Amino acid sequence: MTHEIARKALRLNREAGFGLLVFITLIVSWVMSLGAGSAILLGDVYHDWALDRQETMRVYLPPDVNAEAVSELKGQIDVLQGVIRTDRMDAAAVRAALEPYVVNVSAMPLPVVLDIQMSETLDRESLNKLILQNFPTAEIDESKPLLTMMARLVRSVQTLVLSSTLAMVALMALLMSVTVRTSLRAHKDTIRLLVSLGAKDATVVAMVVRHVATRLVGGWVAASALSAAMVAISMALWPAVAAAVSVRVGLGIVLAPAVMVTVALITTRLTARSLLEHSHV
Amino acid sequence: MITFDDVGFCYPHAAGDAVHDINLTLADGSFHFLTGASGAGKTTVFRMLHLDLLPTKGRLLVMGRNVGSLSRDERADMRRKIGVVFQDFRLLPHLTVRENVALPLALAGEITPGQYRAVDDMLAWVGLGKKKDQIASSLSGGEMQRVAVARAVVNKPALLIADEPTGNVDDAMGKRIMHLLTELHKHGTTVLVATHDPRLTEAYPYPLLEMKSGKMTQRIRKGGDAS
Repeated sequence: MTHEIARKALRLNREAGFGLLVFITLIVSWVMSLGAGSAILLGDVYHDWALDRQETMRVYLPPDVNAEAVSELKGQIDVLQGVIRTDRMDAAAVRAALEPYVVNVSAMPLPVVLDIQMSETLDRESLNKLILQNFPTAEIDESKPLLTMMARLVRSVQTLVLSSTLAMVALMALLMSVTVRTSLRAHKDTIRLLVSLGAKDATVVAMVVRHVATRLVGGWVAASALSAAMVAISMALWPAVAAAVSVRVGLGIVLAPAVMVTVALITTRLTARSLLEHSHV
Repeated sequence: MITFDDVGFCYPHAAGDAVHDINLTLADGSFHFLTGASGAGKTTVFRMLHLDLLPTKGRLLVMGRNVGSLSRDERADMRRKIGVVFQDFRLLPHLTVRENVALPLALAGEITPGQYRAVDDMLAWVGLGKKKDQIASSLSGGEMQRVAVARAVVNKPALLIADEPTGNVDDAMGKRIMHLLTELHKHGTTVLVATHDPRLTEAYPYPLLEMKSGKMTQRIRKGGDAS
């Protein structure tokens, strides 16, 4: 293990580039942790919503339909494989469902609405066929196109977040490489002296990596704490956020910047070793 | 111990060889002076001996090993057995005197209490015991030179190469430093001292190696312990 004097000999903390490192790491880590947390949160919210949408279907029948025919259809639907239960919505519930979209809903005749709970094993085409055979004018609330559109939207947002994260990691790696090169070249006389006194490449590299690691980890911890505080405040202010935030979101917030820190450390190690081996310092 | 076998060195983009056709063997435990005019190739020989430069021609054996075939780690291991006094001292100005002297030990790992005592003893020997906690940049040129000498000898090297080790100190301290080098030599260290000072080479009748236009010749003098 290298002695403290050896570490003190290489004063990288005087380098402005390394001084900026904490600040840059904090900003990048913060953006990455919020990005990753948001992407996971969005995915989770979409997943729950999609499950809900996939498991229910509404059938709107004309107001004047025969009640017996409705009961017969309900019985036929109930026996289909994948149907959990079928309920006829009462008038109050229908009125409440239509109220936001229809003016003076109480003055109009209400449609008959069947609320169907189902599982993934249901053959939707058979169901649709059965309904239209009985009531050709029935309106079926099919959620599939909406689900597909939402899934695409969510995937696009997640892809954007992932691409931005990768771009930030690449940028950080580039920044690290430039900072290490500049700093080691600025300290080349000291490094040459250390080498002439018997320092191995691994010793010098370890000193540089240790120096960088303390700064990166500092930035990472500060950014994670900042993001966690923001999430905690959001959870306190908006109950919907509190309900949606899961352990996965928390892990994303903490671990996403860890990828950046790891990549930056690997870049530092490779750059320092390469510079020493090719005697550019 | 040190064998120059038709050794030559040419710096990149240089017109000619900095040193050439060096054929010489320095025995273990020998003491030599290296003299020569400025630009004659002394520094190049020094840099090759502490493995900073590798010969571009011929074969150089240090401690019995061909330096050209050593890995970087093996060269680092070997440098730990070589003490170097640079003409420009090369102290780290932000470290204390004691830290500068202890640096070769620190690079090898943790420093034992015994090694710290050796550092303090060495500093007392070169007359800097009371200044051991001062930062190096506050020292005079002569004091820096003494720290450089102490740093070079603190780990009892098998080979000591010193470039003008008495160049910036007064006569009394010069004698003291030469006495230290002589004592090391008596305990088996191979010593090579570059100097321009004829008084030094006259006072100590060790063999002379003379550099002239990149070539080295050996002059054995009466009373010297030639290899």
